[in-house]
Amino acid sequence: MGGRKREEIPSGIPEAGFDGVVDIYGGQALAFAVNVLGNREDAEDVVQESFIQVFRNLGSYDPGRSFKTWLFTIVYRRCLDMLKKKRRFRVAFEKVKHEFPVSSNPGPVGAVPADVLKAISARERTALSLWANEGYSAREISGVLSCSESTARVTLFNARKKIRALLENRHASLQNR
Amino acid sequence: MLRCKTVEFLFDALPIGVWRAFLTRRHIDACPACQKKILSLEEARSLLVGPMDPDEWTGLKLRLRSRTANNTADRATAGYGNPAKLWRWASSAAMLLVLAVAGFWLLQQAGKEVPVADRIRPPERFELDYIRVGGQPAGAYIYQPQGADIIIVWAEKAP
Repeated sequence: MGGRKREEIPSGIPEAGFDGVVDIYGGQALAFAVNVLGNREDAEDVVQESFIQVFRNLGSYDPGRSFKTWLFTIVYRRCLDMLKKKRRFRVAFEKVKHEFPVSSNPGPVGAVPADVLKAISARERTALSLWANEGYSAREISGVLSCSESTARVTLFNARKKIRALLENRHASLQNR
Repeated sequence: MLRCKTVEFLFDALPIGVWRAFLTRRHIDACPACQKKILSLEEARSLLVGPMDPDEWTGLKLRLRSRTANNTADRATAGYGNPAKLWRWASSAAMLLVLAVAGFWLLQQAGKEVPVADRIRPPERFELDYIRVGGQPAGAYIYQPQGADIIIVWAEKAP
C-alpha cells in the first residue's frame, strides 16, 4: 500500500498515497458500513475488503467521478453482499437452532446505530447515512445506490418519514405507560 | 396547510418514483410544515454512528496495511499480474502447440508416397485382347506375384 509510487496513483485519488487514502476515508467508510449493517464486526470486514478491492481495481476507476463516491459505492455493494450472506446463514441457523443448544451472543462491540434504524431497508439506511453524515445530495446518493436521482430522493424521503413515524409511535407508547 | 394535505394525498395516490420525486423537490423539501413531519438532519445524526476518529479503528487500519502490503508483494513476485490469467495463456499456448504438431504429422502422412505395388493395378496398366499360338487363339493366364512389380503371362495352345 505504502509502496506504491506517487505517479502510479490515478488522477482524482488523493495524492496522499494509499496509506493516506485509508487515513482520510477509513473512518467515514467504517461509520457508513456500521450504519448500513448495524454491526461493527461485519462493518470492519466489509471496509477491509472494500479497500482491498479499491487497491486492486484502481485501473477501472473513472477520474471524472468522485473518489469518495466510488469508494462508498463499493462499500455499499459489499454491505449488500454481507446482508445476503447473513440472511442465508440465519435461515440455515434457524433450522438447526432447536437441535443444538447455543450460548447467547454477547452482541456487537463498539458504537452501533439506533435500534429504530433496523425498521427500514438497507437501501434507505444507506441514503439516510449518506445524507446525514456525508451531506450528500440526491444526485450523489443516486451515484452510490446506482439509481436515478428521483429514486434516490424518494428513498431518502421514505426513510426520513418512516423513522419519524416510528419515533413518534415509541414516544406515544412510552407516555401511555 | 391545505396545500400540504393535497400534496400528501397526491404523493400517496400515485406511487410513481418520478412523480413522488417531483412533489418532494417542488414542495416537501421547501415546506417547513412538511419538514416537521419527517426526520430532521439533527435527529438523523443522533440516530446514526458518525465518522470515527482514527483511535476508534486502529485494529482495522493495521489489518488493512498488512493485507495491502501482502498484495503489493504478490504483484511484485508475480510480474504478470493475475495468476489465473497467466494459466489461461499458458494452457492456450500449449493447446495451440499440440494442434500444430498434430496437423504437421497428418500432413506428412498424407503426402507420403504410396508403394509401387499398390499403385500398379494390372487391369489399368496391362491389357490383352487375345493371344494367338500357331495362328490359333490360345488360352492365356496372367499372374502378378504379390508385392512384385513383374507380370507373368502364360499362354498355351488351345485344345
